[in-house]
Amino acid sequence: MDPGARNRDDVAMTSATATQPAAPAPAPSGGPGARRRLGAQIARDTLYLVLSLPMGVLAFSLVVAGWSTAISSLVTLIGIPVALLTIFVTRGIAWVERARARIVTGQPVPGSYRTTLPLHLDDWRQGRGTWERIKAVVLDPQTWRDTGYELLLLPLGVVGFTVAVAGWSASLGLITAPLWWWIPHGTGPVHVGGYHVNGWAAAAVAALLGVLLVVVTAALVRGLSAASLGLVRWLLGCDVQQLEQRVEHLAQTRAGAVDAAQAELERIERDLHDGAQARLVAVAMDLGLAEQRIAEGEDPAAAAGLVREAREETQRALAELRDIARGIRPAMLAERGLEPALTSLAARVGGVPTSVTVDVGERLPTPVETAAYFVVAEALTNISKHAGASVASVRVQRRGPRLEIDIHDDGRGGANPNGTGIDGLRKRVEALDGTLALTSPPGGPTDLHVEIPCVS
Amino acid sequence: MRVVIAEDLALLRDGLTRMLEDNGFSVVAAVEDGDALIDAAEQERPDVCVVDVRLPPTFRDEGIRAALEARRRVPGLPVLVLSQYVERVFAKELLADGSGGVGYLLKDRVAEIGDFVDAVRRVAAGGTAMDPEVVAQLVAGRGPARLEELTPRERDVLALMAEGRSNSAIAAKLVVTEGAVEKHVSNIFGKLVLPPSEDDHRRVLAVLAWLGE
Repeated sequence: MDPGARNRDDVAMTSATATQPAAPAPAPSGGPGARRRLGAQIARDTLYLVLSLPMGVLAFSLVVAGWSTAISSLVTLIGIPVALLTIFVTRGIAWVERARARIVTGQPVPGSYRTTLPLHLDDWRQGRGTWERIKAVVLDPQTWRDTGYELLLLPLGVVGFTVAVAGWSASLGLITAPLWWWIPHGTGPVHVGGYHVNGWAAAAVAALLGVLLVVVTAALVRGLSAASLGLVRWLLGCDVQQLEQRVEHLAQTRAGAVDAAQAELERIERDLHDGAQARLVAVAMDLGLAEQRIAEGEDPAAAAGLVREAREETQRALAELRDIARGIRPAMLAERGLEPALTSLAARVGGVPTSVTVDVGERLPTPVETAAYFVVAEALTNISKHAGASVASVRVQRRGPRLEIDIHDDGRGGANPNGTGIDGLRKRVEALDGTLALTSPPGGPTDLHVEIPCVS
Repeated sequence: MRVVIAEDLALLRDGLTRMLEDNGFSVVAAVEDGDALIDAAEQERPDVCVVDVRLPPTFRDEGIRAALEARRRVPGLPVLVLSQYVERVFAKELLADGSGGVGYLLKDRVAEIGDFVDAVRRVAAGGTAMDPEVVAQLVAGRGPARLEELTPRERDVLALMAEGRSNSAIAAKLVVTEGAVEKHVSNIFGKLVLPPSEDDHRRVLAVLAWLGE
């Protein structure tokens, strides 16, 4: 089966022209080193294809057996652990396949799993998020790409194995035809590689055909192996371009989030400096003056007036501090959750009658809740200030892994989708990997649609 | 005594005006930004300016820069800067020309009306008024090495002197005689190798310059 080192060198010499189109690997540029490398490559390809058959058989039987058991026993719930076990085994085989590909190509094939297996024992014990995790594992696209690959591996392995074994053994037989003719044999022709050798001329032709078959086999082996490795990269590897786009998007939204957080901090600092802090300085000043007057024993009425002013200023400072605290994280939201917070917000903003519908089930992760609250707060403030609407509605609902927020008003429309308020909201939403869409044709109505993923 | 106030928040502008007028000052201009401060200083030639650090349009150190510019145009113009927080760098910038007649206080100090009015008068007279927090920062910035030679009492005197207080004020504060304070002061100057001076203001500037090195 193995054509041997000399033969491989011969193949390499001819393959420089003959097999180049079929071989996607870099064409050898002459020289014994390049020839030896190509020879070694073809040996690896051959071994790879031959081993694909047992791997294919193993993978196919495990996948088919695993899933049919899992599906048929799904009603008894035993199917769930069986399915998880099958997925686990599928990942194991995929891991072996990636390792095989890495040995042949020298390049790692990184998988892109969104979930890890097995599930942690702690999760099972505490019953925490087990369902979510099982769902995530089953919905992980890589799970199904692995499965698809492992089903395709069987036919691929059959073809690869057949071509490699038949090609190389026929080549060996034909090339060695003169030898078989030369060593003592019975009367009649010698059968080598499906060829009748009945004389020295025929033996020479057979040897030539053998050399040709070596070239053809090498090309086929190279091509099949390349196709097989391509399939590994396509189904088992991750899409680099998609990853790059994702990285780009994340970098942008991260910068946006940092900007938004910075702007928010600056706003809070300004509010404190111009508001509560200034008021307290004024209070201190009033009290100082009152103290001075009382000490001098003159005009107690004026001193009382200063004290009253100071008290009123303290109350304003308190109100401002409360507003600032609410601007950071509203107490109602922290204590009661989204629905009461939004209902109270809608009542407080006022101006436009607003219906609030919230359907989110359990409490959402804090960042999602807070973002949702501020999206609604900013939108309602804008509506009451600019929209001239007669009625508005807020609908917040959880749809699968996403939180959807829809805010509608029947005002005059024409809101700028790139205005600072909307831009701040967009950054806030994008920081959580969400999206924001504003539709506001002149004349209205205005619709704001926001989606935020809830699964962290 | 004629005063110009620069403060962007109306609440505090009015409060300062009332408080200073109650205490015998005459507020000749109360402005909202740095440019208006420079104009008022040039036109009114006040005895002292009281300036908020944060002024429009940048709300950063506009007040310091306007005060320095006003002092450049009206040499020797006394300036007392008020701030919500203290920054050693601002104090050093104000002290940089070494001519005195500068002050840098936390806004909180306005509540101690007597002390505050005293500080405004001191600055108007060409002295200095440094907030204890500024002095603490300057001392911390100087590092403990040279200060170790001073006794705790001398360190107290040094801090009060750096705030710009006179010997008699220091004596009152520490409940000692003026003679005792003078002895501490000359010890301090000896240990820190500072040129002795009879003039209160010059002495304070020497101490501040040493601290700010």
